[in-house]
Amino acid sequence: MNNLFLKRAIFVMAFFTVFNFLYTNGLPKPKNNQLYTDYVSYKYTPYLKRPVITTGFIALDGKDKFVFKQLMPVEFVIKRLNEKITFKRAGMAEVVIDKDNSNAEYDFFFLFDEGYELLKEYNLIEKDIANGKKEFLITPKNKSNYSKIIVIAFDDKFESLELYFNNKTVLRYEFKNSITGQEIDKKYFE
Amino acid sequence: MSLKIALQDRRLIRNILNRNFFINIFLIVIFAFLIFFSIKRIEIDSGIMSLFPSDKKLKITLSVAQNSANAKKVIVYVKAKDESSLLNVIKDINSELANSDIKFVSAIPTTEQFLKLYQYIEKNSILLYPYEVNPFIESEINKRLKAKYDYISSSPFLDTSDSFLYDPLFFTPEIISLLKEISSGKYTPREGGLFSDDNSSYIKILNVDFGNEEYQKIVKLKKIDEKIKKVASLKKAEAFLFSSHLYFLESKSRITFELSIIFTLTTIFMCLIFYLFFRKLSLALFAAMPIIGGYAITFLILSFVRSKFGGIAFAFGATIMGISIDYIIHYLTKRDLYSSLKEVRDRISSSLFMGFITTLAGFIFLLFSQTEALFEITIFGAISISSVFLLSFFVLQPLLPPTGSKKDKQSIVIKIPFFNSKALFYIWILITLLLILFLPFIKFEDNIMNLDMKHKELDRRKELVANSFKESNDNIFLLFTGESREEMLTRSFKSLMLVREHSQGKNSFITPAIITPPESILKERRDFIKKYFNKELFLNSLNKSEFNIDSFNDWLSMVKHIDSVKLEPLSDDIKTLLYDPYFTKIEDKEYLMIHIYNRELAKTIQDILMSNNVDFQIVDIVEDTKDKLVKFEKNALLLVSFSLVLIFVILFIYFKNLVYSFTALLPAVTALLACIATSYFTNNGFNLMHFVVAVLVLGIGVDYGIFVTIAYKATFKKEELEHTFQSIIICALTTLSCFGVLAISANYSISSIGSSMFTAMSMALFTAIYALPYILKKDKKV
Repeated sequence: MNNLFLKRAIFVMAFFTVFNFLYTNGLPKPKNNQLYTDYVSYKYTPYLKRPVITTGFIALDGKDKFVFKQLMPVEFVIKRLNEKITFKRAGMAEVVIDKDNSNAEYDFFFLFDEGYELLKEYNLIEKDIANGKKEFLITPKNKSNYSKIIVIAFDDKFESLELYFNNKTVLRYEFKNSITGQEIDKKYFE
Repeated sequence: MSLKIALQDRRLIRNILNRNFFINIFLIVIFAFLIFFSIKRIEIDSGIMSLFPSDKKLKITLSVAQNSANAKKVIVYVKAKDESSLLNVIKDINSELANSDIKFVSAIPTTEQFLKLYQYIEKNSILLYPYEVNPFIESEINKRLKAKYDYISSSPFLDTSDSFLYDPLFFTPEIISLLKEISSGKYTPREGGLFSDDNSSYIKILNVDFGNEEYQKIVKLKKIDEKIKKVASLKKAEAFLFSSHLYFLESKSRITFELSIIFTLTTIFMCLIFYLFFRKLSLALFAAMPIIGGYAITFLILSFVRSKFGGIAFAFGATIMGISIDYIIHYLTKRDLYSSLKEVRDRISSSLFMGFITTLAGFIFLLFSQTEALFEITIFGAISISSVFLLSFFVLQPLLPPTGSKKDKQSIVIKIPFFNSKALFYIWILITLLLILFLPFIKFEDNIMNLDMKHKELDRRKELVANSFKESNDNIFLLFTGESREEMLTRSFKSLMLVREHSQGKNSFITPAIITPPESILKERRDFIKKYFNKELFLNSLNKSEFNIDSFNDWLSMVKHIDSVKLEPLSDDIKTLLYDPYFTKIEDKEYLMIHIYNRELAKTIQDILMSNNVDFQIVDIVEDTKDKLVKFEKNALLLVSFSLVLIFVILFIYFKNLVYSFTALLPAVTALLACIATSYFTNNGFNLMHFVVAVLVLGIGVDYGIFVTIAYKATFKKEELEHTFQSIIICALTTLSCFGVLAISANYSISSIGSSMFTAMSMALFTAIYALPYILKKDKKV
């Protein structure tokens, strides 16, 4: 995979489309496809003294409703409502993302539905169970900009997700206060 | 002669005439074949360079216009009520473009290419930064490191590449911002195009692989234009294509449509005229033969003598018929007044011959104009008029001799009303004086584009695109020369800095020197870095920042050895898009060619660079041809005036009488005055087409004057006199039927011919019928 776009697509889809992957592959999935979870992310890079910490929440209500909202340090939100994917940063106008022709930063949302297929096509997935929790190791089949993704899940909820990149960056997500199987407040998708 | 013999004679004559009719048809077919054969051998040069005297600057102007990427640029414009609708429509339009037969190539970077460009800039940021401010002072370093950290923390999904660590002081966004500003966003596309500031409109800039005169392909482009208009209107948005191709197609389509109407009307009028006056349509075919033959001989000679001939001269040649037909009509009108061909020739040969000689003389001075187009017009005119005259005299006349039959005798259809009226003579004097009064106010057309039709819808599109996006397809270029590309890039970069400095950053232009600075600029920057960069200061600030102390070691190493640092090369696709198109070769000399989107900006740049003694050139096809065009028109009018003098001399030599020489020339003079006056009231002044008419009416007007003058000099009988005037009226009507209808054309060059020809011919006729007889009769004291 030499294509720059595809590399980025794989990288970012690795995080969010893993939801679909996990849920559609007989693996734990939120009841009724409904999920709300807070997250804290830590980005470790070789060039920064401390990890970049962000906080926010993720909400999922069926296949076509998804929102990722970062609250700190800079607020922005990426939303999928049916076919429409939008991005909005604080103080800027909302932008509709065209998956065929947009910045890499938004890549991971494009293939939300197709992410699972692409993930399976380009990666090896191994599963293990330890301490009552499921651990998944995802590694690329061919040369990529990431080396592995580790996902830990309990019951139908994620606990953590780690992406390891070839440039020695590690992106770790910890999920808290996760709720599944309950009606998700519409306000999260507005 | 007994009745029986007379009847036999008449039958014989009728048989001869029938035989001659078929010979005539046969000749027409031969001539038509010769025209077809000859035309294939001649390459028609449709350029306008031949209109102007040989001039180096103009050659460059026209070559630049022809070779520039502008000629192949197509802009897609979309406007919607809001950004969301806009993006929706853009998607549909992209789909239409992708499915079309035409291969479109983006003239601005794709997102993929922009990412490559971004990484190139990051990697080379230390040398690409313009150093208009000193970024190496402590406060600046702290500010920039923080900005870089804020960027990372606000973009959690950002996957940084290697080049990221070659730009600790975050130069890249500023360089990108400068590129965006000077390119009006062309280097920083979104959705494959550019958005307006309010995000309500969008353009895509594409290139196609065909020029402005490949009409089959342009028709396909037009169909795409219709499709995207429809697609957009379904979503209550507006979209269209804009390119110079569409201007050419619209002009060509309009001209083709109008010419077909004009040709139809002309044919109908000619048939009516021949029926009305001669009662025999077969005579029209006889009249056509010398004209077709004249063209055939002309094309044949040209095909062997010159392989390439100007389209302008060819177009002029098409109008020669207006002069040549006079000799034919004059003969046809008069032939049955006399019993034999010899008698006809005795009576009218001198007027025909003098008409021919003086018409030729009208062209002579054009040979001295030093203008290729005028030289070609002279050659074409001289050969065709001579051929028509000789064919009509030596072929047509023997094929169509007088029949001596009262039945075939042509009757007078028009009786001239108020003939020899004093009142009408005074009216003529008044009109002539009024026309003379206009002479000091003559103005000359200085914009060659005004000879085209008005393109209302395309001009509206042009304005929309220019106002929102600072983009156009006007052929205005800033040119730099030099011994090498280095020199040209240096000049262009320094010029850009000058323009920005003198306009407080308001004005600028794109130069590839921004992303590929020449060595001289790089040296200046290296010197700046060596002078102002302090490693300890930088490391001190880095230590206080969120970055690890060893994060930018590679960059520090680069700065340490800055003298040996070279720019990383641009990738081929970026180079093809953002570097190569700026260079062009004209006559083995290379130029750096920068498109300027409007004349106001070109003028501002010109003023700033001239006041700073920069070596440059602004090339603008409209501005550069302005003075040359006016000069051509003035020279052309002067040459026509010289021709008048020469014709007068020839007439004086023939008539040996001042009054006769004057009266013979008078219709031509008044026709010329009417032509000039018409140019004042229509269009923007005297233009090339008015000049064409001036030459034509000189030839036609002098023919009328000669026919009437000789008729009075030779004391023609009343019947002969009436036939002379009738022949002049028929000549005028045929000329008006060919040219008068052109006045209705939307194309200004065609309507110029029509309107001025109409007034000039009317004046020539008025002079010949109401002024000359009055003057000549008074002279002869009849």
